[in-house]
Amino acid sequence: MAATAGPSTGSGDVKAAAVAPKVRLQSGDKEIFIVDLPVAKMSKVIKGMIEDLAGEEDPNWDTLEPIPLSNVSGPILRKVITWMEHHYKNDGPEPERPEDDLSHFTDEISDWDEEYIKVDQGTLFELILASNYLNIKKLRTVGCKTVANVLRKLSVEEIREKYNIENDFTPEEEEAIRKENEWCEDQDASK
Amino acid sequence: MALHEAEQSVLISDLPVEILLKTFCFCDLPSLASLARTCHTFSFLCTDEILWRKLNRKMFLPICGPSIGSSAMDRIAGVWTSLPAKKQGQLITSCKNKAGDVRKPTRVRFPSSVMTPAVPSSVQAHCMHKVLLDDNGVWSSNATEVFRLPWHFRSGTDLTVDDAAKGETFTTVREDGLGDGHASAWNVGDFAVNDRNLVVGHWNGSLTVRDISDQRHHDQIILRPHLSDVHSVAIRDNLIVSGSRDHTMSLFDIGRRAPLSLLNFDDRVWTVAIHPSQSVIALGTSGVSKHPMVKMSKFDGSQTMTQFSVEKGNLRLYDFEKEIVTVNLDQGFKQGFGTLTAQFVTANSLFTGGHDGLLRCWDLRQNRCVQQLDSDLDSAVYCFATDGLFTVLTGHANYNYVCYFDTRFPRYAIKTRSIRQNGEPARASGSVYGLAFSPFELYIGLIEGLYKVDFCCA
Repeated sequence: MAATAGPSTGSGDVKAAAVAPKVRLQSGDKEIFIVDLPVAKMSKVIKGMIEDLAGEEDPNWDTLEPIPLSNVSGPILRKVITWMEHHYKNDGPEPERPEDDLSHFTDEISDWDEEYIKVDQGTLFELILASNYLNIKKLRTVGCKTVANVLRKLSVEEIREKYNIENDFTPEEEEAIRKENEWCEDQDASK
Repeated sequence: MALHEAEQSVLISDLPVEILLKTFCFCDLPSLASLARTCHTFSFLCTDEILWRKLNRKMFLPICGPSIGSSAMDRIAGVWTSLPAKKQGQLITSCKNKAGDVRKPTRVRFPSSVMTPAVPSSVQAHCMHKVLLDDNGVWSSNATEVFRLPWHFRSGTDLTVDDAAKGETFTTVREDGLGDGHASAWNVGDFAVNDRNLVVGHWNGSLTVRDISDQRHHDQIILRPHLSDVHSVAIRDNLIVSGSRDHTMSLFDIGRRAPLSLLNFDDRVWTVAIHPSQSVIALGTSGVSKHPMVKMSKFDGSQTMTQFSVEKGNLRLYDFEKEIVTVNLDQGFKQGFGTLTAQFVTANSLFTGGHDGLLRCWDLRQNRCVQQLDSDLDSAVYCFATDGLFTVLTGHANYNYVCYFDTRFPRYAIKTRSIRQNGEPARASGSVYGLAFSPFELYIGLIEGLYKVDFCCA
């Protein structure tokens, strides 16, 4: 039942020194995950809960109750932890942007994230919901950008089909909306 | 099993509105147009005000209002800010499409009274059309007059200069008997307005100040602080500052109608600008003097004179309460680039342009240059206009060049020399002396006249 997520337990981590405190996270379906404390703290919500539970003094991490994350299922939480561990290890401080870097202006996603987010549609939405619930902004942004990139290639009819959206417009209404947004259609937002 | 999975799976309709809007923020405009057509819910979300504010900021040349320049522009700024963000986005994208075009701008017609035969063609050739906007209209100047064209509010969401209207001229002193000889002595070098006064600087070193809050415009004061050409004037509340070719900068209190001080900077004063709130004046000089010595005369009842040396330079900040030059902003810069135009954009930032063709943005908290906008045109910056957000336009000395910058992408400037007179190509000698924009129209002051170009127009 209990599982550690990811092969490394932060052995080369200078920041965590000899004793890297670990916390236990419990998914909605009662699966327990043991995670390095600083990794878990990448979620603002978990960070807040740990601070509430631990109080001011140094707690005994082994006896501390697992942190309940009832809105997140085991498979999704595992996936989220994978993301946090990768980015904790690999993200340095925000890199200084060259003057003409347009990456924050476009909808580009890093290679690792792009590979990571290659999941089915339901999982993608669940990841977005989980990152929203756990307050991990970067992961949520990756999810939102991915959805936006998918939308880019779709026609109105394809969007309805893909996302199971019922057309509740009369043809006249839809034509009016089309006219109103006509100016958007020939715009290339990527400048 | 498949059905069971479908029921289990999270659908897009399960995502909260905040997430959907965050996602829409990353969508391109064609995607949003498609999304809006799928269903009522998405259609409604696609008009969200905050969503469009974010989308607008992602655009090239987002506009947040008219170009800064006068203290009284709440009304025209309001025409833009009262528009829904989506409408603003539509207008901005149209601006983006047009700016790249080589479009022939329409010439703003002069009020008939300005086109009097009294302006000889020899003088006309020396016109430097400066432009300023405020709630009352578009102000401009030719050789002999300062004139104002009123606004025309179209359908409540659009604003244009009413060039069909007669306009109003603020005829400056040209009568004989003032002992100044040739009429061109009174030619306009520069002017400035605030909500109360119009200040005009003349070629003979004099200033005229007119109370524009008074409908009859009779009240005019003539000041004679300088010996030759007034290159630049600025006004804030009751303080009038002027800079002249004769190396002096004059400070005058229009409330008390009393001169405050006259400073000789040992160098031609090209431009003066007053800080919006602090007791600071930015002062651009030609930067030629090797060992500049400042001579200051104070007029506080007893006329006193002090003298002090300053570091050589061509962009200084002068504190008029402490009466000291607080800093040479351009220390370490090559001498002689000359600062020709300067304006405080916010309390902490000053923009300047000069002979080296660069527009510089100075951070006044660190007193250093934080950005240089290079048009790569190798042509001096004579004027510029900015809305205080990301959009900066520079006007250049040659070929009537106007350059559009988004300060976030300094190397992606749009350059245009599209301004042609009578269909003729722009000449090397064609200079842009004035630039100002409302979000809807851009006004370009050339030698031949004042021109307007559609800016963010539907």
